[in-house]
Amino acid sequence: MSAPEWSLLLAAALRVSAPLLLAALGETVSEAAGIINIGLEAYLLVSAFAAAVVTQFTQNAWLGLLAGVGCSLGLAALFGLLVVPLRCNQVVVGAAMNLLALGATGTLYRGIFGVTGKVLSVPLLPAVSLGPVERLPLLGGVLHGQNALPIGGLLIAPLLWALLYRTRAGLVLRSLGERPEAADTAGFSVGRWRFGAVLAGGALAGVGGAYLSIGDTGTFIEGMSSGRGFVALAIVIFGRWNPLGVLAASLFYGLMGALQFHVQALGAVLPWGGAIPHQFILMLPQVMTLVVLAGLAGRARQPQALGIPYDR
Amino acid sequence: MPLGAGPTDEQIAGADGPQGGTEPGFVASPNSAILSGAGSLALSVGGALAVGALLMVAVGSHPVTAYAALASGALGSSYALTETVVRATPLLFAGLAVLVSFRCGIWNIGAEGQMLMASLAVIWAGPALAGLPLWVGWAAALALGAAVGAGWSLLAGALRLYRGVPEVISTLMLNLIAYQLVSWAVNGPLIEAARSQPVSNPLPQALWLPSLGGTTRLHLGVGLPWILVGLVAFALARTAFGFRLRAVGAGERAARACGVPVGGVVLSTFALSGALAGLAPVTDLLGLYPHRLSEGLLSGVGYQGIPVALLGGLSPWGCAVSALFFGGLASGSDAMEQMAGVSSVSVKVLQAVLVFFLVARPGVGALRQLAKGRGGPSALVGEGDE
Repeated sequence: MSAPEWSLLLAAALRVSAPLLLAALGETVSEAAGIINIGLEAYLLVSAFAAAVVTQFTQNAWLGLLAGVGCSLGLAALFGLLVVPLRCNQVVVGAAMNLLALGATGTLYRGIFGVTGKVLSVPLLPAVSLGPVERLPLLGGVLHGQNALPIGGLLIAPLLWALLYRTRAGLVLRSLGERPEAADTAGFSVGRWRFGAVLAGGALAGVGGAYLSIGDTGTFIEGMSSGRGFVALAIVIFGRWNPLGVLAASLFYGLMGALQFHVQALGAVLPWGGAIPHQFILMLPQVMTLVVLAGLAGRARQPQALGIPYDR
Repeated sequence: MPLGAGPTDEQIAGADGPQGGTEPGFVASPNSAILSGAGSLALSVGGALAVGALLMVAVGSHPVTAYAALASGALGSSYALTETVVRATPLLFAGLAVLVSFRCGIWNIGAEGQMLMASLAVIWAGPALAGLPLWVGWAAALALGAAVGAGWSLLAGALRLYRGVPEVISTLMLNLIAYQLVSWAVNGPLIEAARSQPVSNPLPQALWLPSLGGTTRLHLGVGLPWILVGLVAFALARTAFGFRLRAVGAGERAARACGVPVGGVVLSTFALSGALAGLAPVTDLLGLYPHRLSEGLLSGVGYQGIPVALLGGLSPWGCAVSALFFGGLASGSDAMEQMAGVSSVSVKVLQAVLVFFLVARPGVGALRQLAKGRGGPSALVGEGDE
């Protein structure tokens, strides 16, 4: 492949990975604090929907982004209320969040736009001009034409790493996921910190969800998150609960997703003839997650108190 | 007291406390948090319906009109009643599958994937099974579905037992893998002869279950989950296996200390849960037109097993009632869509909100007790609604 072809491929990879990265970074914060949310899909879907609707009616994608993140935060607050002070089972509530998002967005979408099958078309967030960076070889080509969200995701990952592993707040947060009673003894309110972590997770996933509609496709389709929330959960594990690992895992998965189209376009074939069915490429991250978790490729250790409600 | 939840469960759970038995990660004593009084069930259902009404108002429909349409679609005619039973059938299998897992403290949310793999296997083997005599063919198809569902579930069970992988994650991943496998199969090797849509060929007609009544969709298979309700109820309440399963669910450490072979019980429960899930799509494939596999065959039935099991108070008979309730919502929602313009997917909102109310009850009760100044771990256990 030539250099421009590589740029195109990597730019596509960045677009595929952006929503996964943002959702997975949010989940990393929340899981670091000991809260697992298998309802990430709900944040993505609700935010994609709210962003598309508000952008449709205001013709301003930034307002759409705000609405998407706002709705996602609302869902996160509901989730946080149920699992932090009320100590509900996180798995059950997370699974129900997914049902809630599918039902609510589907009902509202059909209620607002009818079931006529008319395709919604909304303006996209503008591309960011990066000036001299865009003249760099390869990287310039990859970043050219991207909007603020994928670029933001790339920047937030190292910042989050620094926050989690190099600051006092990060230490407190991580202690909530390992030994919440220690944080409690040291005078930190486990409930408030965990609730905050859940909200942060919701906000980041909300940005990722908005990217689906107003950052990438310019439309909304029912169920358009199509399992990305679950893939993001896999990425958190694959990235070993570390924002930088999560960044690498997201980019890897984005590359796989982009390759899937590329392989079809290039007509690449296996040595024994016949292309790899794209479904097999799509299931790679899930298979690798199981392999990693099973300890067949290095150890992955989840936060010890993950999923366990705290009770003084 | 919820239907069928013996006091021993709660006593064991109480002894173990909400922080005990935390080995497998996700949650300590699951049953105590979920099994709670039936007194405020009506309040939960009412709350869910109220939230649903808000949603209806938001899309410009009148809730009374919509709910009336829903009720008539679920109960209003003999056809509606049969449709409620037909729609309840896979939900009941799913609810039972979730129930046995949760009662054992296993957070198996892989019913969806287990169902997909079972239906894939039966569609693949269909032509071979069609040569068998009638009852043998049906039994073989159901057994194959149950076996494949159990096998897919056992993957997660083995990963938990031997490698310490939390089943929440492994079952989710296995769901996604199963979905991709089905997608590949119906777009590739198992695509219909006409090759125009990504669906499989129908099962051979020799395997179709006979219809039970003229124009309705009732078929012989709708009785199957009801038989299983009885069997599961008996097994849980009256057999050594059932007792061990509940003991592990109430507290793994305590169960092990009492000599329960925890590993074997956990693996058996994974297998049982997967087998129950596997029967759901096979029954529908054998009994319902178009008898074909497609990517959208299930549309989340596996996940809906969670609300079914929770509303049923994690008891088999409760589950049966709750599957009928959700089956009625499903059949009624189609009528609601036609007559009141509220999309049938709104039912998922009702299911979700119902789950929130159901699981929040013990926590609300505990908070109220804390506020009264008699806190402590015991406040968390089981006494949802005084």
